[in-house]
Amino acid sequence: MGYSELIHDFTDETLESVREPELFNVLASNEELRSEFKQQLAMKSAIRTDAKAYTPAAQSTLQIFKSLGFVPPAPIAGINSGSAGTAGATTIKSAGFFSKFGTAMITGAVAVVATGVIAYWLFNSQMDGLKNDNKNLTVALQNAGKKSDIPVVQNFAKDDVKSQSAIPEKVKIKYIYIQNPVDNGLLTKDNRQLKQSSSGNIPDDGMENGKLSTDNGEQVTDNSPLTIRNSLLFDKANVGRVGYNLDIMNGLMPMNGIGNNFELDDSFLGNVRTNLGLSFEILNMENWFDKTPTISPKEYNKFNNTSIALFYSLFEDFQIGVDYRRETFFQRFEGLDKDGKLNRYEQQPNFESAGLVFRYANKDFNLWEIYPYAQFYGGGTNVGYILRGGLGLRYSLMDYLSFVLGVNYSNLLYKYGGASWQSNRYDLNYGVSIEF
Amino acid sequence: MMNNLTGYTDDELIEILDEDKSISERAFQELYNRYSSMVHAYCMRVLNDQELAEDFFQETFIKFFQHVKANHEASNVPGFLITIARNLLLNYKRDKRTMVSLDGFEIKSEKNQNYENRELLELITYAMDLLEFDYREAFVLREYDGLPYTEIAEITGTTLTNAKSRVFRAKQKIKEILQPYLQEFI
Repeated sequence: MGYSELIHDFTDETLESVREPELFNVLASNEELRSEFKQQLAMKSAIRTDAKAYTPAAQSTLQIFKSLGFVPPAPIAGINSGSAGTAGATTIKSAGFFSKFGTAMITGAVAVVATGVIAYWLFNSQMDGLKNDNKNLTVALQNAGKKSDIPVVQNFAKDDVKSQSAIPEKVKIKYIYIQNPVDNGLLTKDNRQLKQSSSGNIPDDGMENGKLSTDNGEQVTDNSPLTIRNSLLFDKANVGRVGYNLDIMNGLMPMNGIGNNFELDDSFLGNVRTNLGLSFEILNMENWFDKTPTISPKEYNKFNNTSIALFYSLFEDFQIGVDYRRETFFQRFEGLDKDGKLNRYEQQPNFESAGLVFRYANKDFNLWEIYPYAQFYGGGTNVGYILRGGLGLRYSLMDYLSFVLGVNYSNLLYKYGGASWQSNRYDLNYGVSIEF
Repeated sequence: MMNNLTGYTDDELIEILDEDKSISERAFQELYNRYSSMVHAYCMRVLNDQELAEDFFQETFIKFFQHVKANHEASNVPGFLITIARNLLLNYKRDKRTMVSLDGFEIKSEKNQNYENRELLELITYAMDLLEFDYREAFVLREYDGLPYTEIAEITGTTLTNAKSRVFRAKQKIKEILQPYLQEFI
């Protein structure tokens, strides 16, 4: 074996170690061989930097995945397949901050903007419908009776009655606990038990023997405690009277029994590495309301603040799911009673809600098995619609098991007294997701 | 659904490829991530024609997937991929023979220019173009794709000794061609 071959074997990493001293000795004494050695190393080094050879054109990658009916990898998917031929096509940029984190940044930005838009839309409630409803209500109130009896409510949506310094407010709160729910979670007032918690005088407003007597057939939103707040400006004689229907879009989505519809095959859990594209998620929630609740339910539903959801992966990064949960919203709304008097109602009912969830989870941005997701929920309860936007993170503990941590902004839209009202809530949710 | 397939072996991924689309797609993507560079380097440097190389590269992966779906097996995925690419390439060469004339070979060089790897690489690729197919292929499989000699021998249908010899001779030939210029890089 000549020395050139020794050098070749050494740079080729196939030289036996026992022959290395022989090579090194010869290199030490022979400049020509040292030169050859350096040349071979230089060639090897140059070949390793041949990015053109090692990097397929993005167009090729796109064509391959399209031909096989697959979704191209995320960095490639945005390239227009018809924009160029194969030669000289765009190559994948494998380095740089944006190429590494760009997808995640875009995902985050889109989610933030989407959440911002939804939040703006919900918070400002300057939607035409709501605005008009409230405006109409204000006009109705102002025209409904003697001026001295009727408060001037400038903005119902913002609940800023207190801000009118010229109008002293004395509040009497009646806690009304509802004992027995009736069909579909709607109650007649005959079943409500009244408890007085304040020392103020409770005017005779139709309640007898600690029970609130109202007309049969009148309904409130659900089986939760009801607080009725009355301003002195309102007619005391009518405090507590809820003699009108809550026009709250009843029957939107009957929730009862939805939880029983998830008839999961036992075999699902037996083989987690199947390809059903399904995932089952159970989360708990910690809630914060945008308005500090003045009342809590006398008793919370079992599994309150718990949600279960079943997702199906439509695409690589996109899931659609059904979500069922038990939750509460603090509601504050106002309206005229039969006598044309204005009352303000505050309550925090137990709700059962269900809806569809659309989730985008970018698994390409996978840092330590953690990746972000953004989701939008549209659903409802027996009293109104619920819209929810959320962001979160998933941590893949195993292929089929992930921990989920997220934040949601929820908005309950409902109607009462011909006007639209809303309750908003933030929640931190956390739980596990099992994939099938 | 599996989140990360990087820990799976080639054989496991091949099994998954046979499953339904949602999961086979991810398995294919993982295999593509593992071997696309290698296959592309083979096509690119053996052909030294980017347009053709991209075509063969695409065709290789499409045929690979079709084969696995049809036969439900593929042992030694990198070797199998290179074999597909090689067969496509040989078919092409059989149908359309191309010759590279030494007379037309020119290396643009400027005296006293401080070459970097990029320039040296260009020279090497030019020189590779002058090699016979068997030598060039063996050189690419070894130097670019890092395949062991046993695998090179298997893919190219020759003996282990021949495979080693081809790589060595290819390297020597390139060195000879580039001798006037290599001095500038050391």
